[in-house]
Amino acid sequence: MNKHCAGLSRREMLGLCRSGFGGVALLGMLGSLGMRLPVKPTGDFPGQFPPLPHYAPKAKSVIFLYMDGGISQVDSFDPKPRLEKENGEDPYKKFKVDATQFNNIGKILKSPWDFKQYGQSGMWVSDLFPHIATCVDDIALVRSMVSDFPEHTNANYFLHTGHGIQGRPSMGAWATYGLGSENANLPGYIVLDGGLIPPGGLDNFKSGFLPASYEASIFKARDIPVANITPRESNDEIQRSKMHLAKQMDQNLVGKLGDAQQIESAIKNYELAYLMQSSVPELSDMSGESHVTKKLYGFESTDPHTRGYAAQCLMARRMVERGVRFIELTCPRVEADRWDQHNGLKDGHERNAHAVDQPVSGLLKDLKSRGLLETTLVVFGMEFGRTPFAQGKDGRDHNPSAFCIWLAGAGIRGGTVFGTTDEYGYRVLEHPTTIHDLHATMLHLLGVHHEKLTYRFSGRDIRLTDVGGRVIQEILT
Amino acid sequence: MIYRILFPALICLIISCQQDQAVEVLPDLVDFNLHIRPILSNNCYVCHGPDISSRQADLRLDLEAHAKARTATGHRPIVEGNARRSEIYRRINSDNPDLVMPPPETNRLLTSYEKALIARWIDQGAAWKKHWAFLAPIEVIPGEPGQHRIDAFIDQTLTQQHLTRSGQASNPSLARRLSFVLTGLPPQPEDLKLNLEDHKIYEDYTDRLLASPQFGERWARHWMDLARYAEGRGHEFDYPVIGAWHYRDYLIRAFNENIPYDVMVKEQLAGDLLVPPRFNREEKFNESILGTLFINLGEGKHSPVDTRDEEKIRIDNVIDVTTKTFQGLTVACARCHDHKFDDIPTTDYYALYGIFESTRTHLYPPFITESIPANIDSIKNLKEELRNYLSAVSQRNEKSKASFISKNIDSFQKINYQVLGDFRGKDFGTWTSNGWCFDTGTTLDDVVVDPKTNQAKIIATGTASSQKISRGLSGALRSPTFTIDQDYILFKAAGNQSSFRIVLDNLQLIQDPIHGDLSRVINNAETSDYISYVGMWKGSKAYIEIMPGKYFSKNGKGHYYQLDPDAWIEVSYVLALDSLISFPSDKLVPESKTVTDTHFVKIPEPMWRQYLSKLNQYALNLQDTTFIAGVTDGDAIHSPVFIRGDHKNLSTEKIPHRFLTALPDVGYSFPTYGSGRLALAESITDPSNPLTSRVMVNRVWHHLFGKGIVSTVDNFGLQGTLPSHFELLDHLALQFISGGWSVKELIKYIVHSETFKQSTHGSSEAGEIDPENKLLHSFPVRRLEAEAIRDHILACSGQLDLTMYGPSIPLHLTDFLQGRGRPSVSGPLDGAGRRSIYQAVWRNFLPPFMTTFDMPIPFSTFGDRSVTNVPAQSLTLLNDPFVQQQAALWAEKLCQNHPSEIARIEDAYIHAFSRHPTSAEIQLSQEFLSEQKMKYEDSETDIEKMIWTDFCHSLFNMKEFIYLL
Repeated sequence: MNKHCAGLSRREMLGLCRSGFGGVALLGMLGSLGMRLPVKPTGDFPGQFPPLPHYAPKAKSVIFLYMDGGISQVDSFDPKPRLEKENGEDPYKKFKVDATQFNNIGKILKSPWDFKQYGQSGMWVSDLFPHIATCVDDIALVRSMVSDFPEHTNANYFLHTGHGIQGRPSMGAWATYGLGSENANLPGYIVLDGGLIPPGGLDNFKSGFLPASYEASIFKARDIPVANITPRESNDEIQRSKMHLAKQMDQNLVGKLGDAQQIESAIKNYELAYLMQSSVPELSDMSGESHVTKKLYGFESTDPHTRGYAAQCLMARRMVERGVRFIELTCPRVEADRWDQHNGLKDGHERNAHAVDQPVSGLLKDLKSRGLLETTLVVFGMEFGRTPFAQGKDGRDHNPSAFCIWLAGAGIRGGTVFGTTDEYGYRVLEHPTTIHDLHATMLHLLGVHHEKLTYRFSGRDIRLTDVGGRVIQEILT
Repeated sequence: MIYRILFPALICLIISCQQDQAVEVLPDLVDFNLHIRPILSNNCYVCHGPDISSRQADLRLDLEAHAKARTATGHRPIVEGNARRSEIYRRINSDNPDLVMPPPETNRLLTSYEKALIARWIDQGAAWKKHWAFLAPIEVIPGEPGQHRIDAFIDQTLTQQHLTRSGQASNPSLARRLSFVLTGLPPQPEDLKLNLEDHKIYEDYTDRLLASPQFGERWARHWMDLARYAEGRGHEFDYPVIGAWHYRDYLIRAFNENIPYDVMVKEQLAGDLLVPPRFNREEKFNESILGTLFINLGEGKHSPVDTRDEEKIRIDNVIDVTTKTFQGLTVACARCHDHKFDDIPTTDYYALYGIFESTRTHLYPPFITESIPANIDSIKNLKEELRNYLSAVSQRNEKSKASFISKNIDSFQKINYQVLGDFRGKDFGTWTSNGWCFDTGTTLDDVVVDPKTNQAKIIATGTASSQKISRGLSGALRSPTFTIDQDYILFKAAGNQSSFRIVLDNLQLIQDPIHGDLSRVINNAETSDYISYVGMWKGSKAYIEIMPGKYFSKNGKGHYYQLDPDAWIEVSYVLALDSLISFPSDKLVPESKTVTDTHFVKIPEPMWRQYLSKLNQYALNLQDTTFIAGVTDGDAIHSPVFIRGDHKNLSTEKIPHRFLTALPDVGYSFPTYGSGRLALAESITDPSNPLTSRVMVNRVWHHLFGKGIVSTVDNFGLQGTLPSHFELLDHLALQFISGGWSVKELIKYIVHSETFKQSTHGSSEAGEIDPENKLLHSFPVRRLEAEAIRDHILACSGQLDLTMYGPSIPLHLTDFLQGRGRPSVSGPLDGAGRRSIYQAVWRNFLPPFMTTFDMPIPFSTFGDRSVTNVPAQSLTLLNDPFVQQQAALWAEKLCQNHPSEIARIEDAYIHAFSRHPTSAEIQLSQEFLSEQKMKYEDSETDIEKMIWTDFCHSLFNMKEFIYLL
């Protein structure tokens, strides 16, 4: 092996091999952008972890479609005829009502949308999602999700980091920490910002106590997708000569120092940064995409938010093609709140649904037609659901006791419906499925045993799934 | 003394730990703390340790008595002096997968070396010891007389490996090192000429740096990493931590004035309880109180559905930060179960929990001077004189209110109510007045004046009044903690722009959608009844807080606080009732006594004028305008244990306030009233506490050398690393205490050692034997911290503004910084040229430049920042507009100051790298400049400016700029 390998000095390499992370890290390192110098790899126990991946991965990449604010399950994927029958009645007379965030509890509220069955599987989908409905046979629906938190911020941290409080590493950070990226010139974990950064802020996407290299790079689906990626010099030559001067001086310095691994790594890092300046704009340049493809995603929609989300979805596919490990899409800022309809449910949900429906189905179909869906896990998820009774007259409040998410692609058994809720869709009856279970399943499909990917912090070996997590075998192929 | 004997063994372990085990030599004497406990802790304690919930086979290997006693199955885990008869020896060497320990499914594997260590230790008698960090430090005198003790300790371990220290660094690089580690800024060009080989000159230079105001800024920022310093509370909208920046300024002053460390500890935990407090040397305001912001700098959530859960999260953070910062212990691990590794039972956690649960937030004016009480006394005397006059001249008018009680009582009888506070009499009963405005009692028998008519009278029915002394003074009147058991709280009050708040589970961020009714702004001068519905929170604990002024929103962020000059509030009583009432509340709670009333009496003109002028004079400086969110004591709440961390599953036993049981009991009794924070602080700062001093000297060492003697600076527990130099750590710890906890003296002592002055150029042999430089055979190369990099850039460009203190500079917002709670104003690109410590830190909008270079996210204590190496750092230095802007400004300065090319290059090198360029570097630079010139030839720009900007920008991007060599 050369003295340097992808920015690692001999000693760093040695240090990693010695560390508890052992061969794992090496594998990740070689391909990853971020993993130049994990200063404190986990554990002091040689041989504690088998090399990653722990078993053959189904998924190379994950696309997490985050539906900010919480979609109402009874208006989307979990039809409840009883709501229709008892519309306008007092919920207190029907079941025990928990305190809610706004505690402005109104009457039982039927769904404003009709439900129909679709596909071979006959999965029920409401009229909110006519396009996604055409993909149901690729989708495994979990109707029995539960969360620990009824407020956005904590629920978001929980969904993203497996812990309700700021400061833990995000799921994307864990995935790249474990597996690295397959593209040396792009970050392993990218958040494609559609305009709405979720409550809790960028800490949903940070690396917590993991080295900063694993945090998400925040991209926008536009010409300049990320801060400081564009050289400000009038031409490339000017920047190159500056870098050349710096490099000459740095190498003189290294020559004088003798043993200077840190500095050598930092020099390597510049070369990578330089390459990113061109690989990132190449990624966001969609001029080569065909008219048909763009139309599939919704580039021709009259709704600017559909067009915006379509660009995010298409960029996500381009990232998958380039080996980015973990991609999250945040929602566009429509002319209503995020999916958080405390009032005006019909208008708000319709606007949000219209923005994402066609692009999401376009993404699934495009991935499938290119054979990428087999190795890409797509997750459509949110922090919690909404109440079956109204908040005020025409809204719904937060409900962490039952909500829906769905998964599609790598290793997922399409057309499956897992878990049931009570007749109101208020609480889970069968197979309560936690955020930890979701994380365990995502890691599993990436070839990672969720209990074995840990990092020592504050005297504990901490993992994404905390002390829980069960792989949802029932929805896997 | 024992450690000295053991050192060869230690070295053996460090150097060879991951290499071929076969060549390793077992130590002559195996030591429990050095060798055995780390093996047990890493491999056995999860199932055979302190935590009962995960314990297997009822076996404990963390306690000597258990480990050596016969088990239920008749085996003896450890038989002193006989490994082969010891069950643990058999188990760890077993070939049977059902018997072998640790079990195969744990993926833990003992090496043959570890097994051999255990065997030898048992054969040698299996001597047990308390965890090293819980034992008192021991002074050992090393080396030759006259030699600096630090050098003697370092040499001792180096010699054992046949290594020697590196030679002294060159004068310029030593000046650069001293200047950066002590002040965070590059040295002045003239200081590079100092002959630092001369001890006197070296010491003078050190003293000069320690005395410079920039020293405090550097070390305050280190401390802010421990205190999870931020100006916003994060969560959804990043509401402000009121007056957070005063804490930053407090730290800067404290480090600059070299306030003894034990005093700083006490102030941060109990600054409100110190008698007398510490007053600022020049401006005479109360410094101690500012320290208490430490407790209050955490995150906070508005509108939690479960306020108790939110309180649990907040207090957990305070316990976590407090125990890590001052004790190097992760006590928060004991929230759900006894600590898995350390001797910290979950009851210890809930003892501390009660301490912080009994602590309330109080808004203090940040500059409470000693002159305030004098002015207040003068006003009271003045009013007393007037009262004496009035009582002499006015006619008494007796009237009884007893009559209507009998008339109306029947219709009220169905209403259940409870009097929470009644201020119509002379005193506040069980309520507590904090600050000045409510004084020590009600207004009964005070005088009230009507300025329009020059009339005055004596008040016959008291109120709790915030204007008892003068408007403009701040303060609060608070009830005891009570449990809400009625549906409504009614209070009779009058006021202007002032607050009546029901504080549930210590929740400060009271607001809609759920809690709006709990915080009322009183804005009506007519006394009337106010009712708040609290039925939703029956069973919750709460206290009531009455204060002049109100919380308000500014630029979309709620929970700022303001006290208008004409704000006031007066409350007659507070009731809890089970239903709404349709009649005035005084019919429910009439005054039972006969009251004495007086008429208004006209005051003679000269007396009136004199009264007014004096009053205005005394009241002039009493207006409070800015505030800090400090703390004060509430009632003593003793918390039950939350079983498995669940606040809905409580133990019946309540844990009294006390300190950690594993540490020596120094006999501070925790009072039965209040929070006990002062006793906590005293337990921590007692010289017999084995951790406090060790933890702090290790932090200082860490900041001076880039790594600690204990590398896990926030964890001195079993899961922390062992010290690389036990005796040195103890020596420094003892000296720190006996030297009066002086941080500056400690720093001076360390930097005066030859160890600190070493060059970074280690011999290649040393690099092989000690690759991680644990033995300090040379000075460790290190990258500058985020703040130092940015300040260094500003220092080069000449834009650095050394103005100290004050409100933070807002973050420069870009299109990439979006989300809820976004600051309403964008700051200047260059942060107004101010040092990085003065740049705003909002939790949801942390400065990207800082976080890119590893400033920690302020959620917990971070004594050891990561040092990452990521492309975002290179991209920042290459393309960030701030860096480019500063390069242009630096170029402009260079061109103005020096006509010749070589002089410019020289000057640039001195500023960037604290040294002269070599002739080769000058040549390369000149070549670069002329090549660059050709690239611009066709353009119409100012070519000279462009090429020098490019040159300066290149210097920013050289490694030597951001590394200390």
